[in-house]
Amino acid sequence: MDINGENALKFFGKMTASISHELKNVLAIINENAGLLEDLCAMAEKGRPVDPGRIKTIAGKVIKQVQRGDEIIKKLNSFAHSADELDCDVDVNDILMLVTGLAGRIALVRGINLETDQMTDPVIINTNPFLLETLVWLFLDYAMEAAGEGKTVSVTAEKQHENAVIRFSGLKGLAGMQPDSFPGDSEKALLAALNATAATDAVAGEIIISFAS
Amino acid sequence: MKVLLVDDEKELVSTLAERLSLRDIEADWVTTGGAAIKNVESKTYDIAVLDVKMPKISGIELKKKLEEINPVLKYIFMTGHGSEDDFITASSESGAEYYLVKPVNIDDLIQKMKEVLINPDKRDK
Repeated sequence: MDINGENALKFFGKMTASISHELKNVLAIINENAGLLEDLCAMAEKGRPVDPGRIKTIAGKVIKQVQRGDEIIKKLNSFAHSADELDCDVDVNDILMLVTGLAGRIALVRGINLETDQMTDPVIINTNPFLLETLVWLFLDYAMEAAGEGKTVSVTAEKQHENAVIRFSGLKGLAGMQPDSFPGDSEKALLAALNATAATDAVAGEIIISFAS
Repeated sequence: MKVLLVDDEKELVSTLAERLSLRDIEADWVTTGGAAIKNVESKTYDIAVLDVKMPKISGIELKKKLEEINPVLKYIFMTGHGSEDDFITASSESGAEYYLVKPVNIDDLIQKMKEVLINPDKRDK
């Protein structure tokens, strides 16, 4: 397997592990609320009245978690289908929304707030969607480290002189990072495969990926 | 028995605390490691039930901090890890612990609470 294949596989593993962890939490909350309903039924059977409003509140919590689980599974489904085609037109905004959505739990655990501003205009490029997602994740992973705990990392896509650009902003700790360590071999291989270049601006606290048109 | 439940999923810990209270077990709940530290500093608990993966501080790191405040506090971990083997590997450096994999069965949790009070150094197999 080549380095990009390894990167993609590691990315797949990281995201699916995070999603399964989040789904476990959804199931755990549904489990506790179902258990609470059982507890209240058992009390009612012993003659202690149960407030219907209490039942309604518990049902509402279960519905909320089902909706949460459904959103997680929709993201997982989009993620899975992004490997369907090796070369197609994609809106970079959609890729950013998907990757930041998948990485939401990881960011939360690391104390990072992720922001993705959905631009009005689509930023279309012809590329390998799964490798692009892998590239975005590797840079996002580094960007979160560069931002530091408690900070906000903003990820946006835009067109600049006909070229698509992805910008990671809010990386105030970038100046203190080892300049030789990033981009590493993994990132360089993905950049080459996607015909892209990366530039780091420690003063502005930004990393910019540019895709050749 | 007085228990502190710590998990960043508020709906989980609040409901679990309510279910424990229906079984005459006094349970407080918090959603951050910082709040857990404050609670253990100000109140006496027998057992802390900790989520393994939480924002800012892991359950295993939190245990080390709580041990400094209350050396006799006992611990049970709740994990969202896919398998029990994953968790055993992840917690190998933290010493003997009791753990449950989410979703948790409340009867299993209460059984673990009883066991950890009787035999705190036993590691789950």
